[in-house]
Amino acid sequence: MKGEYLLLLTLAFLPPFALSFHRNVRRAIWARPGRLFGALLGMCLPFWIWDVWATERGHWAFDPRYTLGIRVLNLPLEELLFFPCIGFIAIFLWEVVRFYRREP
Amino acid sequence: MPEYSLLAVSSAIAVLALDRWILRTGLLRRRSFWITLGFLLLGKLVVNGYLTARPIVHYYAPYYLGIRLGTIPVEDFLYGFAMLGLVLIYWEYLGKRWRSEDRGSLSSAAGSEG
Repeated sequence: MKGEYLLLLTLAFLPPFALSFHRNVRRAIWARPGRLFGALLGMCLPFWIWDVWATERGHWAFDPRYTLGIRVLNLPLEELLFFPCIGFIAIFLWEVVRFYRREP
Repeated sequence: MPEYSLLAVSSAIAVLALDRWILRTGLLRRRSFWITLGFLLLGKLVVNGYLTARPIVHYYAPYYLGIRLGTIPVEDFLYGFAMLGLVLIYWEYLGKRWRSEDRGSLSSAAGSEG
């Protein structure tokens, strides 16, 4: 199914995204949108560049059977979205762990 | 060493170095960081496992070692560490910077009142 990569990404991303508005972590995660944007972009930029280069070089390739076929910088759109989505999940989990460990 | 293997090792070292000498958040010395990474590893096994088992992503010789844990190339674990480490290092770095700016503006506001 061509939407499979997008579906996998959506299933991974939506639960953490929804739970990020829970009162226990909402403030920590969303109080400073610039902080969130900056951290995600800081990680995404080098990894996008790496990915574009490695795909071009032939390190890896994305199966057209499971991707939508929308290409940006010669990468499937899903692959570009992968980095901010996973980055957000990391930040969410980090704040959840900090909450339960009562770290200021 | 194959190119991807070399890049994966280098990226993990670069992230360690970035925190150790440049951004100095101390994140990697905190137990919470390794606990978070442990949870992320569980999720990674599912997502990365699916991507490589289907496979949605194909990997090609001679650019990686060809050693896989299950279906996941070993390089992907270092790649994942670099990626998750980097985003959390920036998150903590920006958090500290903004907290200190807040304190700065609070104290200057208090100073102007006094």
